[in-house]
Amino acid sequence: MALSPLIRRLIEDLRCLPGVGPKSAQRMAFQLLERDRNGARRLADTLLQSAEKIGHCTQCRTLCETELCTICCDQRRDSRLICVVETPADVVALEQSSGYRGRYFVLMGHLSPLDGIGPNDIGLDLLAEQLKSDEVNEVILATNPTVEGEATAHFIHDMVQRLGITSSRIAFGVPLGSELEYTDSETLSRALQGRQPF
Amino acid sequence: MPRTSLQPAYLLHHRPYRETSSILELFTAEYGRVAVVAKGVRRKKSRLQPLLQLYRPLLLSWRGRGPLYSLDQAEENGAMHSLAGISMMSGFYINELLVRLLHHEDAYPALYATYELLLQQLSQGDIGAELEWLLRQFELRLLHDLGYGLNLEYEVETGEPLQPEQRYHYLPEQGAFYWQESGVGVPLHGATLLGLASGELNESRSRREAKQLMRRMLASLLGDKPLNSRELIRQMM
Repeated sequence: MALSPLIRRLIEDLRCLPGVGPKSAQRMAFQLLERDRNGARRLADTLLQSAEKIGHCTQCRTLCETELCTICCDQRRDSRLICVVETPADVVALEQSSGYRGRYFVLMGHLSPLDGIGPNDIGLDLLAEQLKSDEVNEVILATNPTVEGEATAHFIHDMVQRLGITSSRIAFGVPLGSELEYTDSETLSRALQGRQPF
Repeated sequence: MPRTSLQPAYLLHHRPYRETSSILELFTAEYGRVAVVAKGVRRKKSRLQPLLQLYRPLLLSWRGRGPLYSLDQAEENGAMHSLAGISMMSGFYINELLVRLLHHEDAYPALYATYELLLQQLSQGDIGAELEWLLRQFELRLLHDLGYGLNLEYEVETGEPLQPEQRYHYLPEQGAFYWQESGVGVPLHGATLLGLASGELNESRSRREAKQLMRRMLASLLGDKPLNSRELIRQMM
């Protein structure tokens, strides 16, 4: 069956979402058109508003539509503690799982010299300013355990140390519920190095 | 489809490709620089992701037709070289040089061996001033293997052997000329060039001159685009 140009365009546009191929895009399009026109209008409106209004928190750089995000606004959070992460998704993951009560700083990436991404591209100038003016006494480096994440942590550690502030790196180890036999050797060796008194 | 089986290799650079894949730039012992697509490697449960890290000795299989091959299989080939601090940044520097200067699928076996040795040396903790000299030796090998080897024996115009305390000007792609007030090229002493040739360069003056020389030699190959990792190292110092 030949589809009309607008439906084809809808299907094509839905494919910009992650994990959506031609078949799923077509299912989504028909679902919206046949069964949920109101949902479609709401979705369109929300998408438009989000694309226009959502920017970055001026303090921690995470995604939000206000000047300060809800975490940075929250007076009950410990502003002496900053946890540095790579993406807004990392903030969500940490918020869901841990009892962390400090603030965050979101790099929106990591240092990657070969791609031309330097310290200022990941907001380290802004972080340095905050560390100088605010009363921070510990920076937790929670970048990913990749070489680039490690390099980023190192770079920030040097910067933080020069300002006389403590920095710490999150621990690495064997994932819960996994088996040692199938864990890669580098993870295992880090887990051994970072062992703790039982 | 042609298939290459479990080749010793290092990852030089990776960039995201589509939703869950990556394009990897590899440095391999037998095939030189090779680009492959690693399908699905950025999926949550990918077994390959922890393996495919910079500075990690790997055994890789790929297939297909060039210039972009498909990664088939990856295994670790020994412990990861754990570089820290300035050594890690230097690792980025040599990777950037290789990605910028090596052609795809030209074999550089001696350069590969030098690269592997350099990673081992860089992973030995704080090596201080030796770091610079290790980098110079790597750059020298790189230039040689690219066909831009330095003339480290004779003065160009007279053919006379270089003298340690004599001053010269070194011009890329030509060689050393006797020093003149109006001379162009990198000013240096004969000892620097002789030291580069013999692999022993201990004086700080010579090391400084060697750095200027290498920088000039590489600049003529790299063109106008600056090296990002060099800038990062400068900011870290």
